[in-house]
Amino acid sequence: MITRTDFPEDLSILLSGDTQRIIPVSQQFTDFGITEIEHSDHQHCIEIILKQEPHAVILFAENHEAVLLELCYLLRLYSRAHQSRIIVILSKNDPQAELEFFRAGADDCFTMPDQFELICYHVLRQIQTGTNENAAILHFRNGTQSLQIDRESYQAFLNNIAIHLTRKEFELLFQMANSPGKIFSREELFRSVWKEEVSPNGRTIDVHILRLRKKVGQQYFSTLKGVGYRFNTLS
Amino acid sequence: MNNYQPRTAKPRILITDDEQDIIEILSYNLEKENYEVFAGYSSTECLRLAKEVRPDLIILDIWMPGTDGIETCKILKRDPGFKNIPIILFTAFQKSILPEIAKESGADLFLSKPVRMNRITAIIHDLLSNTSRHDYQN
Repeated sequence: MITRTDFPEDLSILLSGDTQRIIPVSQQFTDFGITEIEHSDHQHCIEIILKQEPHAVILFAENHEAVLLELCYLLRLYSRAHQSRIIVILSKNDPQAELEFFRAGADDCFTMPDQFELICYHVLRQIQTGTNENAAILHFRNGTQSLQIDRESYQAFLNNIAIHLTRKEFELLFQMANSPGKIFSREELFRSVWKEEVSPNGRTIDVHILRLRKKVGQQYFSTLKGVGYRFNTLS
Repeated sequence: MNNYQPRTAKPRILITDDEQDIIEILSYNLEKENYEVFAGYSSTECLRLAKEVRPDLIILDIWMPGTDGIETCKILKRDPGFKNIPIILFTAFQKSILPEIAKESGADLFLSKPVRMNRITAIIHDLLSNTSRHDYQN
């Protein structure tokens, strides 16, 4: 469940694009309790991000014309230091446009013509994930059981006792635990942890998840048949 | 738009942009101004053509898939063979280019798109007048 208290009090969002598309989404954020919401056209978007360093920039795009891709690229370049999330919302389904925006540096890009509340929650989830990405230590609690994953020391602790994990096991665990609830495909996990496109025997991820289940706990990992794996938060 | 070889007396300009229209408009107008024009559609093509044709001036679009214009410019300016070749970077957000980014890129100039041809030809003329055509090393 996502609530206002999951986010910083000064959570700020910049919405860039056509006013008619911005207003109803902006209203959803206001209803959620966010007060720092800026509106901008694409031309002035960069100036605002430089001055205000918002937590998230939402670009409403009609297509993937070069000027919008350049804007996305510059936003990524300029927001590197303060890690604003850059989310592109397309008005019509266009897989090529999605690909181009990801290439230009978007954290997320999706098509939602008029699902305003859904857009709001999608963005909030993206901000939450981004916040976690910056965290060096992840904590999970289930009743009396605790799991702590420390990226800096490459160690995980179950009930404060260190678990022995190989480097790849640790990286896989951190990757998944960093986005609890998210479904990862095997290919996605392989690319992000092994930095290669294709697993040599096709079973690498399955074998590592099996080991993590034994070492960390069965309950933390769900298999979605034919899709991939998910890290579960238990609390 | 030329597809190469032997060197003529005309100054050589290498344009790199992933937008076909921009390349066509620039090529047409610059050839009319008596420049020899070469075109690439990506950073990789730009770097290859730069070595092959030894341009007197390079025009790069800031945003290209793969390696972007800023990064391509840095690569060229780090190369002793190209460090003195003027490079113009095209951007749709000229006013928003931070001085530190401009400096880091090493570009001689950032120009705003859409391009006004009389302005760009005047700029190219000025930049080439200030540069020895054979500054680069082979």
